[in-house]
Amino acid sequence: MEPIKALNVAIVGGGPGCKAIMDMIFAERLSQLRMKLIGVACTDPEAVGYCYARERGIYTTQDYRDLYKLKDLNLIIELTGRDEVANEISRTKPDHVRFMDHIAARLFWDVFQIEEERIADRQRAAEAIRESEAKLRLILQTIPSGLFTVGLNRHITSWNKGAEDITGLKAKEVIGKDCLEALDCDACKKGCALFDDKVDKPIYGKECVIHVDGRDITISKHADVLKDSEGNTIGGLESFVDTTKRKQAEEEIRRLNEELEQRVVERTAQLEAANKELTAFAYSVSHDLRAPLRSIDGFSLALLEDYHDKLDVTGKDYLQRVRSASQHMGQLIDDLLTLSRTTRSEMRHETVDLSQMAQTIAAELKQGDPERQVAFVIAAGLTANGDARLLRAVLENLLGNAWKFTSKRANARIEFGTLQPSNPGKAGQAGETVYFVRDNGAGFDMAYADKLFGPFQRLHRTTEFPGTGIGLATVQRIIHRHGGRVWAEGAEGAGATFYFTL
Amino acid sequence: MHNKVILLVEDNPDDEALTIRALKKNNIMNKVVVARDGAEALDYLFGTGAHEGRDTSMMPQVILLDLKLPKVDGLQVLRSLRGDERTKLLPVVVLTSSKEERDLIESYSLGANSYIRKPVDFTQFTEAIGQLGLYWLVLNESPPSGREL
Repeated sequence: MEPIKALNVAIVGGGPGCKAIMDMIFAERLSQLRMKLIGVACTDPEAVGYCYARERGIYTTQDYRDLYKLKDLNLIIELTGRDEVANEISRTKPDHVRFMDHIAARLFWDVFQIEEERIADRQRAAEAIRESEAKLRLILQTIPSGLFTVGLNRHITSWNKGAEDITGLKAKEVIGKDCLEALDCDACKKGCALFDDKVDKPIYGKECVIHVDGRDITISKHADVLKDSEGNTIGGLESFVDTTKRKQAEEEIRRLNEELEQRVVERTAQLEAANKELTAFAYSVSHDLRAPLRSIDGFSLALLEDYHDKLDVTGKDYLQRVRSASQHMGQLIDDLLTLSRTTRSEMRHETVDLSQMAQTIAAELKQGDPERQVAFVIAAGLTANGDARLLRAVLENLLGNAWKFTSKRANARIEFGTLQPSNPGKAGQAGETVYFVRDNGAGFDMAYADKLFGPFQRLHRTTEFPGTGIGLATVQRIIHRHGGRVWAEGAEGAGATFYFTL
Repeated sequence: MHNKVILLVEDNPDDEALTIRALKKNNIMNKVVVARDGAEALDYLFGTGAHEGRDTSMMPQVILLDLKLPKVDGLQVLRSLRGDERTKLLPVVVLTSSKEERDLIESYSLGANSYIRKPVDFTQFTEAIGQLGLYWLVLNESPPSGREL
């Protein structure tokens, strides 16, 4: 069918329909049909279509018969909607002029509307695609990850800003280049997995080292192939992040850990050696330092016994002093050994009945000095988790001290118990058990409280209360080894209270 | 009972004198043979070395054994005694300065009959020796001598 040539059109009727058809003609949207409006006739010169045509400089008349005279008129479209007018025009128009009545025009209009909508839809879809593409482009340019695409030949087809930032390579430098060359990746050179069918896609979190401008950059990348709508592979997409710093940090952590482990091994060996040396030292102390003391004490006694009559009172007194000094030193050595043993010995953890232990120690103290009247008040059912032998040393020392420092008191009273959790004392923390040993003995000046637990520290003269000053140091060490704390409160002449936690 | 000897294995002359004195103080009048190191003690007991030809049917009533000795130490002496038929039943009292638990445990596990720690206070030492003498020299029935076994 031959395409219809351009038609010169005239319209009869000047209502809104006329205007719409005019717009249609002016818009030239009728794909196969090119129309040119050359005249409009309407009995009402104020009608909207009529005015519109006039404004546009198109011939207008109130009598449609005038249109018949128009040169080159091809088509008259009747839009009055009145059949008698249509019939009249059909009858009177020149023969060469075609005629379309309002019914045909209406049909024509509907078809046009459908076409219009289709065009509008297509435009909207194109707009949406443009918008989505713009959004995608923005995302690609703003994400910190590197992202690029390649064709089947592995030549780079796009390269985002993230990729530029990570590698320092600009898009214009790399686009069109083989990605193996552009990135100089060790792993990829050994065999590119992207187009290898044996490798499952997508590839996730593959770690690679790339070499760019003399820099080694560690990247973690994801990759997948790009396919067209029919499922044919048309290229690939790769995204990557720079993990160099993380890798270095991990490496640093691993190195530090190794170093630390090595140091622990060395320290442990050193400690073990030191401990061994200390054990040997303590062993030799216990043997060799005591032997001369035994001689001093033994021969002094021999002198006192065998040469009794040859010594005056002063001489005997001197010998007595020699003996008590050597015995005191013997005690010092023993206490020191005990102190050193508390740190050396291995801890055995078990549930210990402290109340029972305190009762036994109290009985032993009473047995050692039956003359004394001391009231022991020992709370029942106190248990702790710890090393029984060491905890016994703690109670022996604390109760022994209380026993010793109440020796000059008429109504001596020694208590062992725990503080109520609701009233945990000044240094007690919520939830922990605070044990205490309290006496009403000689007490001490709080100004020296910090000296109490130092080895060889004494707050009383030996003539007043005998002792070596090692007991509380031993107590402190044992408590610390159990992860606890120990402290004391007291006043001179008003007794002392020793608190400890485990 | 006085005919039986006490073998004192002790390298320290002071301790030797004091031990002998403590025995006397407790009226223990047995002859005291002193060995100054572990090797000498073994020689005496088995009739070897300087004691070659000694009548080994005569074994001491009790051996007072120091642990820290030159040449052969006390624990080694004890091990040798317990490993030999002639001496394995001899009463051995370990006399030592050491209060180390491992010495005590090892002594008993090697078959020591008693373990006495020499106190610095000589009065206590004399008391300990006295009790020891009473037990091992008077109360204890000694095993038959080597020859009768």
